[in-house]
Amino acid sequence: MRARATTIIGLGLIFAAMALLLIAVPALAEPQSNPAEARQAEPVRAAPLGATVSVDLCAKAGTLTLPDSTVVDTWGFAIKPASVACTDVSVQAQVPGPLLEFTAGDSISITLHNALAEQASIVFPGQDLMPDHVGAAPGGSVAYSFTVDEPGTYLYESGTFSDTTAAVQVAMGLYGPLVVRPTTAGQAYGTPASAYDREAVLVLSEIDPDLHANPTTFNLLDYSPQYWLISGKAYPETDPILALPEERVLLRYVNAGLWNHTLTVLGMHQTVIAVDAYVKNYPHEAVSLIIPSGQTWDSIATLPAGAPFGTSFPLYSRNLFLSNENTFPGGMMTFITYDPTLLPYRNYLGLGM
Amino acid sequence: MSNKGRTLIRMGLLGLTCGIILCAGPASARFRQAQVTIGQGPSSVVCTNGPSFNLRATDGHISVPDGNSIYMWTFAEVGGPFQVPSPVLCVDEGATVTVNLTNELAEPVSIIFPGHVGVNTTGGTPGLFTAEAPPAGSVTYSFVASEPGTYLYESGTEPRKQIEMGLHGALIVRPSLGANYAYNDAATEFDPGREYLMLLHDIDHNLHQAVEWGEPYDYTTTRDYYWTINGRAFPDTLAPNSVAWLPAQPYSALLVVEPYDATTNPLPILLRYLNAGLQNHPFHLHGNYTRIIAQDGRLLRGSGSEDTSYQSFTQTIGSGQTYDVFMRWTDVDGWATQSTPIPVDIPDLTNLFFHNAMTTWSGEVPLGEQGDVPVGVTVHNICGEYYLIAHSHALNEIQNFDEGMGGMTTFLRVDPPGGCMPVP
Ligand SMILES: [Cu+2]
Ligand SMILES: [Cu+2]
Repeated sequence: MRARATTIIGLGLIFAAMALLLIAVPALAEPQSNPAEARQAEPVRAAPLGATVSVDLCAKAGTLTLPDSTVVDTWGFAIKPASVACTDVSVQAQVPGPLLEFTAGDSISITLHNALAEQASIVFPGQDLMPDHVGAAPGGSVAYSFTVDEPGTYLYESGTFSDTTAAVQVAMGLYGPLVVRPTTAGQAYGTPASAYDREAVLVLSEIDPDLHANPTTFNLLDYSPQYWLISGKAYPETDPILALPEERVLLRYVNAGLWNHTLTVLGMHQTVIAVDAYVKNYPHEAVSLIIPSGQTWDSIATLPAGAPFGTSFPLYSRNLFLSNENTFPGGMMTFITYDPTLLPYRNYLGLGM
Repeated sequence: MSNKGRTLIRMGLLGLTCGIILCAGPASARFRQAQVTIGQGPSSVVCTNGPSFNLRATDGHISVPDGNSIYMWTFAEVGGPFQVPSPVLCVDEGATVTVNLTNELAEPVSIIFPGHVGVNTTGGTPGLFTAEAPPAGSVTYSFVASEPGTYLYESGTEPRKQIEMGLHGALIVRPSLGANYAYNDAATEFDPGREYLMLLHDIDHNLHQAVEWGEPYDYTTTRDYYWTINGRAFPDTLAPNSVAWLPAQPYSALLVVEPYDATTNPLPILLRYLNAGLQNHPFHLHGNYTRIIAQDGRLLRGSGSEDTSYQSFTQTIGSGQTYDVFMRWTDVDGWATQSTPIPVDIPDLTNLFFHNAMTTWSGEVPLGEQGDVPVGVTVHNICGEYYLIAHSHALNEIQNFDEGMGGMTTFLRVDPPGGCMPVP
């Protein structure tokens, strides 16, 4: 019986929670003897199926600190708590934006509150609504309503283009992952081939500091990234993907960058189960995957048996964007690591929204 | 450039400009493949057989067709010469592969084996991806080659630098079904004399020069100037294996096929694509679709053994990816060298400039038809064989330091049925 649990990489909100959990784990290191039983204890969405889910997002300015202490200005999304203004200092822009997580059948209502100094909007590629390229004026808000019918891994991002900003809003950080879960828990797509034990959301993107310094005047023809991110972090600050031998790790790749990225996993093959949330009838195995800009790919990497605890399997850009500016190692790299402190089963870390 | 006529014209122009190097390849390839074994063709894959290999990380120079030479690092055989790319390691499925690596370079090096499970290391020092051999030191890797297919092996130490410098090569695992099969599937039988390596790479010579001279290099300003197949840039790609004038680049990239015939020539040729470069490369052969049968050492089959191979014209070979590709050339026109030559528009002779006796032009080279060859122009076509270009369709990559044509380009040579016999 496989354990089923979920590791989310890429959600700024939960990093602190994850760290706390890891610290707490040794004290809890009594393996669950019955993963199936534990499975049922996994927190499911509070809302019943087919519920209406409301999310309030802010778009506002923030900063991102890179491993070499370089700080760049960003524009990012953030969860807006009720009765707190987006402009409040407690609301911090995230890059990438918060993981939006729904169950197939939910009716979604997302309100964007624009705390930027220019027009802002959100488009939801793959969802059933008209793309909004107008959005809300500074200080205003705009609402999006749609039903998420199809499970899968999606991207949401700024849809705003203007004479002055062109497509820089996405590059500035206005993007995030959106996951629609099927009603069958423990599967990405409600199919046996999409069953997994742990998962990681890997949002790929790049940083050209010049763009971030001058978003309103930057010419995208001069785009020349110096940092390469997985879920808003560059190695060595990227989050490891913790798992146990023989577990199936669902890798949800979301390329929010302006460039295509080719990602490799060493020590195993990964099985591609979906592209752009469209389930492949015939999954195929691969070492290296081309994830084009704007696409999402779901693969399942099954960790080999027999390796000692602590073994780390590199997961990295095979385009070898492995530097922070000119310093190696860095960039688009993390590790899938056998973690002896993991319970065979670990609860899914929810969004906390 | 999928237009035949355009290509022929281009070849004519190419012939005018390329001179002896281009033409020496096909011209010297006078051979008849009657009974062939794996690797016997003059441009077929050259195996270094295992399962135990003694490699040394070392340095040297390669030559590129514009006259430049580029400082490279490579894994060479202990006791063997510096060569780019590193040797093609061939092993049988199920074998325990052992690679002893000694380091002749001044910084740590290592080897990773993407797609293989449970690589054990002995000796060396801990590294980011795997154990490394320190300068003047050594390390040993071993693993079971459990699945047949085409794989890369490459540096796992500062890969951005070391892989581009040349520390990479191909690993072929032959299936238990037989060496003339790509995988353990009867449908993967190929022409054993027509198995080709297509190892792609991209080079910014400024990095190589900086490394050679011990100077800094800014990776964020990388711009490639050379693109290679099997360590050679076009037109060197056309020369046979192990020609004397390319002592450090022993592997040809000339593809040879004969027209498909259900009785006399039923088997496809096999192309083993590997992209060791940092860029993804969209690659195609002119003349026919190819069939992608496997990626990264895994046969394309559904969970119920459904054949999920697919036809592709241009296939993007992603960085770090390998593809096994079948190719057949089907003669739908009943081509015969003498009686029904492939029709071609011969350019007006008055529009052409003939430089010297080594000049070639499309009236005589690859077209299955002998046009009016001007007096004094050497005829290089042997038997009415037909040449089709095969190239990266990122067209900036088919040049050598901004001079075209060159780079990641080769030819597919279509021989008359039965092989290339000189026209009487
Ligand atoms: Cu073309
Ligand atoms: Cu072409």
